[in-house]
Amino acid sequence: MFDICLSEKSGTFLNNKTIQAIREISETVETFPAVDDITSLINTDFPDGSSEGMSVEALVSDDFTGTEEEIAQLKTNLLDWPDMFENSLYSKDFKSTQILVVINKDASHEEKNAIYDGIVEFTQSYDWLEVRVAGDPVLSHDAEIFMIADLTALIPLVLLVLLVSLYLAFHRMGGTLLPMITVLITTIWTVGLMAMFGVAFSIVSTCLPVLLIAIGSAYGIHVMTHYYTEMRNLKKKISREEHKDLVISSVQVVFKPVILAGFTTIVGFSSIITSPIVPLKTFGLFSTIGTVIALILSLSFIPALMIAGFKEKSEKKSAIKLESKILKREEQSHRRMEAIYNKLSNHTVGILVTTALVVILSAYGLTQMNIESALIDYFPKDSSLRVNADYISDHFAGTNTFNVVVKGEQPGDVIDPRVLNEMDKLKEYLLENNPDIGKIMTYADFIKRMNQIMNFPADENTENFGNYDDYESVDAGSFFGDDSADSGSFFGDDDDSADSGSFFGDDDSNDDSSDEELAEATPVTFEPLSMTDDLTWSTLIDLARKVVNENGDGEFTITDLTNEVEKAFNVRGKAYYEIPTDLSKYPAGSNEELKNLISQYLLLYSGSLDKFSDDSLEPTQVRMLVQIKVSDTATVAKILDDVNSYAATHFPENITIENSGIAEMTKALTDMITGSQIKSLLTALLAVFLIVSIAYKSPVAGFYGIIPLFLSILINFGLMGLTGINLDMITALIASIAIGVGVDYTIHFISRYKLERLKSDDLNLVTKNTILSSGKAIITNAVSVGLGFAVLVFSQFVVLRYIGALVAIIMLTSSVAALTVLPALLNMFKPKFISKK
Amino acid sequence: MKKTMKSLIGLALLLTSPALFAITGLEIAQTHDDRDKPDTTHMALQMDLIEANGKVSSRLIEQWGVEDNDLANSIMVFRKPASVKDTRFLQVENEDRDDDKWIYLPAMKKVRRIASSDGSKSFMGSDASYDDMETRDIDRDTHELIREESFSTWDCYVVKGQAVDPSDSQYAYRLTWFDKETFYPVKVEMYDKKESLYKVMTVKDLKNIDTHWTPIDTLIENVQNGHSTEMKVLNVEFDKPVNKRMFTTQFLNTGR
Repeated sequence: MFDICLSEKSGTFLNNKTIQAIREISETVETFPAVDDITSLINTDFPDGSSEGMSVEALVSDDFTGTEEEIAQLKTNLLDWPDMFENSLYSKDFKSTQILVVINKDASHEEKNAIYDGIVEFTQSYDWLEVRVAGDPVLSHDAEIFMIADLTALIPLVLLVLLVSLYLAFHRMGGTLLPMITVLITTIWTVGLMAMFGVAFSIVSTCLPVLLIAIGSAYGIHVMTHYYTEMRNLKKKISREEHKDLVISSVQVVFKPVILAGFTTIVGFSSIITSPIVPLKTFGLFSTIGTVIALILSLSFIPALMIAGFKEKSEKKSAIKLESKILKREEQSHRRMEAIYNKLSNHTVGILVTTALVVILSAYGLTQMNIESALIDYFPKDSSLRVNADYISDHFAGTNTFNVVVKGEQPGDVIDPRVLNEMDKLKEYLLENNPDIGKIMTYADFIKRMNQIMNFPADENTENFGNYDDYESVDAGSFFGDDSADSGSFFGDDDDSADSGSFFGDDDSNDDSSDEELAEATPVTFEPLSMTDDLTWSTLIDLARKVVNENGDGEFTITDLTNEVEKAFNVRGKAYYEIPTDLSKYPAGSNEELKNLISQYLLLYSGSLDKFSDDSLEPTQVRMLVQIKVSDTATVAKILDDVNSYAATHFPENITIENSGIAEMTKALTDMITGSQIKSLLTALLAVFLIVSIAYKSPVAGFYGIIPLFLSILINFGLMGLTGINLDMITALIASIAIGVGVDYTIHFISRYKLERLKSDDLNLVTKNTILSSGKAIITNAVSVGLGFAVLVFSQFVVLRYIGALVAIIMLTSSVAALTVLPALLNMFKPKFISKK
Repeated sequence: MKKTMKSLIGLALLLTSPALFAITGLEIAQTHDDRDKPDTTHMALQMDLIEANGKVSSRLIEQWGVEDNDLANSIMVFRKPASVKDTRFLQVENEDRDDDKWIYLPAMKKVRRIASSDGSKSFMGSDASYDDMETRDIDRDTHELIREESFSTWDCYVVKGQAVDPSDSQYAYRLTWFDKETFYPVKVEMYDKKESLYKVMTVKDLKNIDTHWTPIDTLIENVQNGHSTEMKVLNVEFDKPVNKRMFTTQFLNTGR
């Protein structure tokens, strides 16, 4: 749905120029084939009453010319049925009006964009109006623009970051370019596969290239690092053949750790595939595929290029030059790591206490976490999309909507006045208890209006039509037997005064008995005051007291009192703006007959209620549309709870209540996010536990393996809770990325620790050697992945900025945890698996 | 000036724009319009509302009509279902202004006048609009014979009718299949303002009753929402005396 909001720059929209503009916009938008329905000032009906009867005319007729009288009448009419028009066709200050455009469900993305572009272009000429457009198609339109902006800006940026960090790590062309080419190929293949399979690009998949570039480079880096180490160890010039053997042997050495690191990453990503949310599932699938591609290329394509690109002659010279440089750097970093180690050693207790404090704080943060899934929250608060949506929510009923569907067992169950009356009261109950509800429109509102306009006070002078008395009594002979008109009805016998001969025989004894019931109807005792009566002070005081009583807190406005006086006099039928339930007010003998009255209204009004019922005469379902000004799930959940608890206690047993619509879907999606988050988190943790357990043949090892992960994920959620970052469809990915990438550091650390532990029993020495040897690799890896993700901070989408920052933080926390908490625990508990051969 | 609905049988013809013979669309429409029409009608009708999912709800309606100085009056009495039984609807055609319409709701025990200038509204929940129910003056439309083809058992002229003033019709245009022999319209396709097919009316059974061609069974389908309405004439009498007292609001009120 598009929501076009037109606001007058000065004054009210109730002028001919603006109304003609609304007509032009409506007529233009209508020409798009994907447009199903338009609701605006110019195509809305105004059911009105008169002393003689009823009329249904357009609020703005085709020949509206905008005379002062017409404008005044239009305003009067709008104000006459606030339940329908207020905050929907006019804002309370009469500055703004809305045009709601319903788009066909099957409309393509392109069709929706074409409509949006059409609206924007077409309305540009209205310089006296401010035009704001909101709605789902605008959301996806703007998301697309943001996504393209992100992809074109962020991919070069993350490549630049990678280029710089690769150069700093290797200081060589080969080391810089080979991993780079690998991730480029990986990204192109993965995105190409998505396109081949016709997978839509979503906001989530926007970060896929960044993720593949940041993570996929790691495997190439491993291969290159080892290759350069081997090359450095060579003291002499080597031949092409010898070089080839060297490449193969260095690949063989790194093969196992690289495969293990890749495998855990794949496990982390593939855990997302379990999500029921399609964009997440897609993301999980293609990030898994991308990682597999990166892994295979790093172990095949990179060595192949190294072998092919070998140059015998130039190698020696530059190698010597480089070697001294690299040695210098190596020494520097060695000293740095030593300094880090010195600071950390002997602080085991301190590390553990700090960790415990961080855990407690994070756990508290976790309890504060807010789970949301409204798409609009992904956009920055100052984006035109948010600004427009906020303006519309402030001035109209709100764009977040859901339906309460009241369902009966049999057709017609729901038009029982008792059911409709409860529907009406449910509306009042919801409005009283939920200030964020902007407006509720219900099926019952139409019945109330119908009841009102059919019960306008009668004009004493109403003339009859036709010369009834000039003719003899009617003997029409009905076709249907029981007719009292003796017109020979087709429907019955000829005992009537109108003898026209009915076609229908007197076969319907049920109908006869209902006739008798009608005759015995409760006398109508309700009698509104007549306009010729004087309003006495005592009556006025009674009315005022009634108003006070109905407004429990004693606050009421002059409008409330006016309404009450108008009701007493039945001005414009106001005493009858209700669901007919009171037998003393209507010429009906039973509730069943009141229900018949509603059926008869529907017969007359049929067709105008399509949007609110499933059948124009005997509906099984009727709707109520709740519009909410905010998008947060807690508010929606509270309203849904109110609906269900009211329904449980107030509606008859044959009536069921269902909720549907955007808000309800968002709530369901939010529940799904929580569920899928827990599921993929547990799946991934379990998988990591199993992998590490098997690798070290000990479940204890598996336990140690997940500790740093657990800590960094907890810190992540704690931070989100404390800083107010919502857990949503996209931030739910962070935990899986954390597991997939973060576990590498633990595996590196444990394997090196185990190696050192076998050499020595001096735990301090073991720890020192482990940190000195694996620390650099872990930190380099964490920094490059972290920086790669940090590029997302420049995204157009708020949510991707969060992802960038949070993943960067996770890289930091999981690597630091691996280097501090892990040795502290290993040294303290001395698990057996670590010292076993 | 709108011509009133004369009777529900009229439905089929009312949906159409008038006539021609062998040559122009206008002549076909004119020939149909000039046919001998009954002075009075009395019909028992079954109106079946058929939802897209096939669910049917039926209504029985009895209708009386008279024609006086080329102006038609008609009264309709709902017989079934029980919830709307005895609802009465009176429509009186006027020479130079909109038709007068009154309704009597038995549960309200009151006659109310219905005023509405928008004829595109559904007539009593059916797929026919109030406008579909009236006869359009031939000169409100242009009539163009576009082809000849057979439809069902009839050999037909297909005439495209388009309002002279586009705002004078809820449709962009209508295609009408006139039976070559009787000049009776047996199928009408109605196209909405976006020129996509909106409704199709087809006559399933056409009978000659007392020299008047009468569609005994007519189906109107809304192809856009899948809803349809079938009108069956259960019984019919033409040119039998009908008491004019029936076309008064007092009769509406009392049924006598």
